[in-house]
Amino acid sequence: MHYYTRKLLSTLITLFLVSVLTFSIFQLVPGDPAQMILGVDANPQQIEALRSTMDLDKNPVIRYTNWVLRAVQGDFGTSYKYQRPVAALISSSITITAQLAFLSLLLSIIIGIPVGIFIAKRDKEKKVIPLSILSQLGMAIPSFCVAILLIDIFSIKLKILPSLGYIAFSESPFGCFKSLLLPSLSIAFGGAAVIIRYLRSNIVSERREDYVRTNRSIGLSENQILYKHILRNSLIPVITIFGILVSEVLGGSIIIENVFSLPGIGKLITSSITSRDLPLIQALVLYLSIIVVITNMIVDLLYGVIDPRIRIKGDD
Amino acid sequence: MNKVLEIDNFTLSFKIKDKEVKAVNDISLYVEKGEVVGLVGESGCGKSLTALSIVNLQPSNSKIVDGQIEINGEDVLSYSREMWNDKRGKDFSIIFQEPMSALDPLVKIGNQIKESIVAHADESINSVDLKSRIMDMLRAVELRNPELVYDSYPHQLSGGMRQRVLIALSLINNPCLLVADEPTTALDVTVQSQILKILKQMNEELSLSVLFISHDLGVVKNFCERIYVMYAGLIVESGISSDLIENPIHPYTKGLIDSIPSIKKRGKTLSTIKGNVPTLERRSGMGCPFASRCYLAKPVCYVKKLEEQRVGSRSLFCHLINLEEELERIKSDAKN
Repeated sequence: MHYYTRKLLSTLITLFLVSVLTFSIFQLVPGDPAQMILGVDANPQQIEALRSTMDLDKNPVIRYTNWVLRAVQGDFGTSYKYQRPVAALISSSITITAQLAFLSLLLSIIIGIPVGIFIAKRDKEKKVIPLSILSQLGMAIPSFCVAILLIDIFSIKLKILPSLGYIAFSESPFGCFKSLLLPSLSIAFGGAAVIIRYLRSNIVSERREDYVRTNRSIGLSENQILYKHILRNSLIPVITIFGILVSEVLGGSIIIENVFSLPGIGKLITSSITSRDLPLIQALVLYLSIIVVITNMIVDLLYGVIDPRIRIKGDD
Repeated sequence: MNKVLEIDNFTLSFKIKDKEVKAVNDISLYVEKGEVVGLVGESGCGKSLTALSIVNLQPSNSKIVDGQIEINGEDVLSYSREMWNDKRGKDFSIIFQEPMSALDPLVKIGNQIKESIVAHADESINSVDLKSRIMDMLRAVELRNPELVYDSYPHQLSGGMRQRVLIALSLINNPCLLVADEPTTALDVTVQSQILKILKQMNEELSLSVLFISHDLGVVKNFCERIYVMYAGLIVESGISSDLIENPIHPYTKGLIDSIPSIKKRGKTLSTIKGNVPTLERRSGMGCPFASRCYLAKPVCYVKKLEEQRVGSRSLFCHLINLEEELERIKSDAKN
């Protein structure tokens, strides 16, 4: 089968499994949503009535089918807490999270790739050891610690960047960028660290490959060999990391949005969990999973573009 | 005499546990213009290190202790890094043993060869000329479908095809010297002879000088005009191919020749040389390195420094055999 068709098919299957899993998990969560809405003082008749209007008394398979059929049409039900359609709630906060995630990934790449190359080029020199240690720290320190550190430096001491709130892009593009810079940097710190470490070790091991010796033997300079040959070969595994990075960035944004009080998806998730807002949680989890699954599909497709061996193998 | 390559008293060493060990020990050899010269020995005897040193690709933890390498009369060991980059692939080239991994898997064949031309071109060449030059070269190495190969990725080609591509890559700028480091070892026998044929053609048509390195005396004997036999970092015997093969003098050369399988030896046990080439750590650096495996060895072999004996084109390093007497004996044997 064709490489791309196969990838698309496996993505669809994954999405189906994700929806089943998301639905099932929240069936197991203790607590009755009807009871939750009506409060502890509600009488059993009221609860029973609400349960039947919410379809809670029906068979889980039927409920799942109904949920999926409506979800496909963009209807995720109504949030218990906000009493608004879930789809509307998500679409109003998704822009912020999308901007945050995009900026975080961009910063991870902008920092990660050049620093990775820099360290790899000076692999044996002592002066890059601090950078290596820093990148190891970057992987170990959770993003909210970095956030607190950055707030302390840029908001409290230097007073150049805000520590709270969000300014919409339509209001002021620069203000929007400023309000997202610290949150994205907090996330990008870890992301860049991952890229640095992978890229460095890939470059160092690629440099020992036979084709590099061939390149030297035809008189290419070390820089030509690095940028035209080694780098491309070294980036293939880094692209795989990129898929993992996207899910990490999304996970990171849940915490970071709370630290910086950004009204994004992450903020919505925490509030929906604390209030047992089942339709909202289900929709959000599904939403995030879909993003991760689709990014991984894109990564797989990119893989085929950059590495001819995969493309052609798939064509057979 | 017009020597394209001349190596004089070249010594390369490694530092192993604070001890300097010589992996290539005081070797001298030369290749004349248009000549094909073989360098033969078992694995681990320093042939590949010698080859790599000629193009300055020896391992970074090795050290050139002594000696000279001249290519076209230029002392290449004094070259700067830029000079090496300028000369490699233009004045002299090398091809390696393992064609499977020697090409960048992500770059099309045509583009990889193009890089070598562009790197050494003084002025920019238009892409039509570039392509026709590459196609000519791909045809010259007898690739059956050059148009297809030009647009292929390395993994789409067989080992033999890749070695042809590598030969094309190394010869695209018309170098005068090719160092071929076991180019046929990883290939099967039929492909092996095709590759040798191509190298021979290039040698004749372009008057390319070739230093051909191999562990297989059977391959080298028909292909090379002169042969150097190397053992444990030392050249032990050298001479004109036919002469050396028919009348080997050094016990090591004799051993190598006896271990070539042939129709005449059918049904008999193939002889081998007992033992292995000593590892770098176990080389004493004194006396004859072959002494421990030699059937003639006497105590003197282990301690006395070897001296070269030379008669005409024949040269020998051995304490026990007198080259002149031995050659006389061979001559009189032939008469009777």
